[in-house]
Amino acid sequence: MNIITVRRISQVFFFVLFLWFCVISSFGENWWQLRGWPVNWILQLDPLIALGTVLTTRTLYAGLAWALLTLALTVLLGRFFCGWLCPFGTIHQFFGWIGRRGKKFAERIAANQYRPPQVIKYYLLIGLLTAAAGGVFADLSRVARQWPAIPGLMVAIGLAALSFLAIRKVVPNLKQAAGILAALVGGWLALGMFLRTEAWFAASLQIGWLDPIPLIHRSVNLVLLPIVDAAIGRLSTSPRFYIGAWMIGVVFLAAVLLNFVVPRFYCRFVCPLGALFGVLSSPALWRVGKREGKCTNCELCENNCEGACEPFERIRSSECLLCMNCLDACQQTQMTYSTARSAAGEVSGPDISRRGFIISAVAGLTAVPMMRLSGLLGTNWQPRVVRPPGALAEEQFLERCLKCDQCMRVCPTNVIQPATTEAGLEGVWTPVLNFRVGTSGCQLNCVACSQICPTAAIRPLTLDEKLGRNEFASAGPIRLGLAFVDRSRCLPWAMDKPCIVCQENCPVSPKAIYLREEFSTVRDGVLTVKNATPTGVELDSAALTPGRFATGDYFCKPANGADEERRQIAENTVNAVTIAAAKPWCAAPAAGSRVEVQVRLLQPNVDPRLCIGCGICEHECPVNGLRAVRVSAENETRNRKHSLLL
Amino acid sequence: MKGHVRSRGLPETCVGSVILLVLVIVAAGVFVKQFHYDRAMFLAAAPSVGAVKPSASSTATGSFVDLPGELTPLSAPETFTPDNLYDKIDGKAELYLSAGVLGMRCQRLALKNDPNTWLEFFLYDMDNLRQSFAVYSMQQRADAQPLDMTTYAYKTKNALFFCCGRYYVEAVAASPTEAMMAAMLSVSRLFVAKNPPQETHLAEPDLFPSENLVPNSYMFQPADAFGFDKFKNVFSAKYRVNGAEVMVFLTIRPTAEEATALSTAYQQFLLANGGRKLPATGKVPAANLAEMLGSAELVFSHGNVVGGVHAAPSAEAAEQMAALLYEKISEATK
Amino acid sequence: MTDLHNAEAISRRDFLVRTAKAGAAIAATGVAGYWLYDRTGPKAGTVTDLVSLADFSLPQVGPKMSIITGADRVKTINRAFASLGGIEQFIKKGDRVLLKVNAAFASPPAFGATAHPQLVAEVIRLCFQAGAASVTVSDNPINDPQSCFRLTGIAEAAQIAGARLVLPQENYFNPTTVRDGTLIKNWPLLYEPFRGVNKLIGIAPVKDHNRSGASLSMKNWYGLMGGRRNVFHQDIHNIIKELAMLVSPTLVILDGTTTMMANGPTGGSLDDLKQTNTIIVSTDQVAADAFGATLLGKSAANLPFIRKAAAAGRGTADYESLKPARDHAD
Repeated sequence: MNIITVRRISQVFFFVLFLWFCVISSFGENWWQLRGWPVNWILQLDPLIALGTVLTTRTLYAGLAWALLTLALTVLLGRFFCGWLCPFGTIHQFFGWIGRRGKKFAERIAANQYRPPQVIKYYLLIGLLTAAAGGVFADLSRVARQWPAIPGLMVAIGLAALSFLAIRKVVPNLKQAAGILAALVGGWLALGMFLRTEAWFAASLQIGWLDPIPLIHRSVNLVLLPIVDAAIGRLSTSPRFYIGAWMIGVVFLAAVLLNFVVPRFYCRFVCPLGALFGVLSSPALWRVGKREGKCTNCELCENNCEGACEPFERIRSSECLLCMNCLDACQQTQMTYSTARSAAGEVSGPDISRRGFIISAVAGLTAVPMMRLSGLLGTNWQPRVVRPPGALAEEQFLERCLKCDQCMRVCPTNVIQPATTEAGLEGVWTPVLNFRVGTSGCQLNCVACSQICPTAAIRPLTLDEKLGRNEFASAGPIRLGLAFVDRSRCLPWAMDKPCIVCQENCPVSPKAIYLREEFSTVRDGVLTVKNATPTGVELDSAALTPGRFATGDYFCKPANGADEERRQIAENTVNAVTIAAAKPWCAAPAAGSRVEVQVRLLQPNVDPRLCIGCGICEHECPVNGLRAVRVSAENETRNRKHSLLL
Repeated sequence: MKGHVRSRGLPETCVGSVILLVLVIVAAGVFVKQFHYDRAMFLAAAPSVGAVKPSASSTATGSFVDLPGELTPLSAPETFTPDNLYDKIDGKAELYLSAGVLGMRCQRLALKNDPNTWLEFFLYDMDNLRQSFAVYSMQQRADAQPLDMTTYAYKTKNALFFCCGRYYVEAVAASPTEAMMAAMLSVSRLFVAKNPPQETHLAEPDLFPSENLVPNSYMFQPADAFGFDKFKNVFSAKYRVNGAEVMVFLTIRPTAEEATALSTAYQQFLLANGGRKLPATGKVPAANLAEMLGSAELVFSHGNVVGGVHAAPSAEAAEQMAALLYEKISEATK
Repeated sequence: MTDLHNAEAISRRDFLVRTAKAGAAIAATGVAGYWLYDRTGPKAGTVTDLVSLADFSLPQVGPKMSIITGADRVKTINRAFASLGGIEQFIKKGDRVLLKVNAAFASPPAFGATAHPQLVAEVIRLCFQAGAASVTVSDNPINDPQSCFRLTGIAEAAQIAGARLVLPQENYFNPTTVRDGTLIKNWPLLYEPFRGVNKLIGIAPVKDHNRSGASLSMKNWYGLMGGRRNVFHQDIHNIIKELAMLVSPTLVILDGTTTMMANGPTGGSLDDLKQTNTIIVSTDQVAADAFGATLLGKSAANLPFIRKAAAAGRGTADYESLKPARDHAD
């Protein structure tokens, strides 16, 4: 059987599997819904996610251990993930194939030549990893100050790291480098003893921008599926909206369309995951290469080379995606996949220059403290950023969130939305709740988002913990924020119109919205009595709208009369008001006296001890532009500093 | 070049086969995995009704009661409050509402090896044994067979009903099979074991004479017995005397004075509503006898018990039964 | 032939080297993965650097109190310690002492809103006289720390007397929880000045307080709270009680030389002050406050926080039972 066929089957298999996972990520127990489907498996196989979160949190969270399998296989076999598994890679390969149909042989060869900018993905990888490693640097700085007896160990570690780097030929001269490193480490330790150098470092997980697996989950789930489902209507009964999804779509589209410029553009130039695999696969046991033998220099091997690794000459093993097209194309069976290095020679590692390494590392290390200057984690925290239930406090959240947007996909009410600028640059495409969008607020009995998050940025909750029951009764329910009634917009507060929709819909028991009765004289509601009957008054003027006061909310009271004299209006005509027969006037108003028509308003107030910030009130509020009751992040349980109450 | 066919070696085919095998294993693994998940996450959390707290095991199986091995949930558990009890049991809700129901939980359960055989398990929280007994007694079926689940329990061909302290349980099977009955007994026993009742026994039924008692005819009316608004917590039982059915009733009052007052009040109620006073023969001291709508009514008080006969075919029958009741009460209160 | 052999040998060695590297890499990542593996993920409100304050009280010395009258703070405080058997009863050679002063506002000492620098300086001197190895002065003021310590004169007093002044910084706070408390839960506490300290003395003026009725020695510990501590004003008496539960000082010094009788805690007008000329030194902060209340013309019964603190076992409101030493210093 042709290995190409197997590779294509594998690519199609994982692509279909990926699409299937996207399609069934709706919350429910039917076979076409979430059930126990391992929808995060491809994310869990991604070692960049595992490495990134290990750097930011110093733990390897649960299912991310699958990445160890990928790592082991990569070290043995090479970049099989890129060529055989990655769904994004499959898309690029497909579009690249379309793009080069009809192109002449020479053009194809030219398209598949190695280009120096292919090294950019390594710099991106380094920058992203150092941004994630800020916390490790901070810990090391703190260690230097608190345990001054450890410097020797530090230098030892440094030397070990150095030899690791030396293999990558970043630093050519081992002895000189050791000296430089010792000086740097020593200087840093000395500095760390007097200054709080840990304040220079901060960690942020930003791999989600470019890591292909979160990217493709985001693009398919938030852009493609809603568009496709708009016509079919099976995934969701109502259209799904995702704020700012056009940006996600543009990135996806750009990456895909660039394949017409250079095949597998993203894989070759941008993909940091590919770069990680490239680094890991340089010393791989099995590798593609030439046999000893009679190569006729036909260059057929580079006709369809996906990785632009130049198998014809000195093959660049770190760029080879194991697409095996060269094996298939070579008529002399000169190309092989074996444990021996290529007979024509190899370029063993990526072309990273020392300068480039340092620049990207420093860029990654400094970017995060710079972003943190905006104070979004401190006093400038954004109350619009209402995060899903179970989300960690912001600093820890940004250490884990991949921007994979699985939570948005699974949310049954479509309230979880990708942030645009609310949470700063670090928070772009992280989940924030928007209660105007979607079909309801955050459902009381739902913990779907916390269960699906692959990195526990939204930590997994049980219903008991979310609702504050049983063993969590003393801790209380998880609060997303607090609802605030905007009295300048709320109908009973500002417009003399009865409405209690928010209170009716408040799902907690006892309700967090309570009502206060208030009687307000309506506009033009002071009227002069012509004559009164036991159950009504006839008025001087004939200016009333018939039936306007017949809703049961309107009352008639003698002007300057006591509250007890107020009577409910049953009916009205243009010039007469009839009060409910069950309770007639105790003293009918005299002719010529004034009566007031009043509306009975039940004005909503929020009890901060009970409100959990679920946003159902905001969603149901009939003032449906800028809602008259809005939830913001005060009093959220995930950060005690935002607590409103004791 | 088109048309070129490269010879595939054995190693290549082997490797290809291994990889395809791996893909098959992955597919199988994914398929198997989707059956294993925590159902508790998908079932809407029901607030605990009364004192029944979902146990750790029961949430794993997705039920609010422990299930025996042969049963599995067929649908999600539902919870109802007095306000929406109608949504589930429609007009029958009145029965429970008048007896003071606090809430109800129900769920369909099926046999693991035959999901078409299912039953519905209803758990009513009636707040105390009396009220639980009230609904139990007011709907006793004619074909009731005794059941030793608790003191007040019986089964029919396809269902069983019992009081477990404050709870009233109905388990109704869709089909009257033995397997279903066995399963219902299992789950009920598990429930009783998990929720041992604090009150198992009511005092009043023991005050009824046992002769000629129509079996399973006890009834408890928490309020408005026989249309009289002062008759609260009235127990009654049916007796067969000379071919006719007679209802004997009693209620325990806190003090003897109250009992006497109540007895008098009931008599006055009867007289005020068209009853005609009849002279009592004295079989029962201080008995008030009346004829009402063609049948005899008798009421008396003894100590702090108010007892009597309702809708007897004749005054003699009424007095006869009343005498028996009086004796029994005297014995019991000695 | 040998060339081919050599090539093969090199290739084989290279393969073995790569195998070793691959094996080592897989093993290393496997071990790292195992070591870092976290099945359950983060928990709610994981607080890693929780601290709790040590108990600085000296039960072996027993409950002691002295109430000394006098117009000159220096003389009065000296007489106060003398009547307790000397400061050496409390401060031993080599002790590291922390003076928690009231430097809440950037007011001049004359306003009586903060601890008087003369008193602070004298207490520092007495500590060193008793052989203390170091004396630290600290507080978390309401206004800007720099100006508070400067304008109250406490910074200068500390510097002249040779004490170390610790101004609060963000990283000097650690979360703390009061056991059996409901309010102070994972709340930031000014902990840095406590490092290495084994004796704690609180120095506070006697003041009226709008919200709690009085600001005395127990309320002084409010200055150790960080974060948005204003929120506790919603439950002022319980927070004072919990502060008394949080802190077990060696001594408290209540300076009632000029008492702020009204418009506390900031005062501002000299008319608010009354010359009550009394200083209280006590090991029992509840008793000290109970007496201090009388200087304000109030009684412990009017001040719920005193009753609550006593009920929580932090001391007794019946100060007479401590048989306070009474004297006059002129």
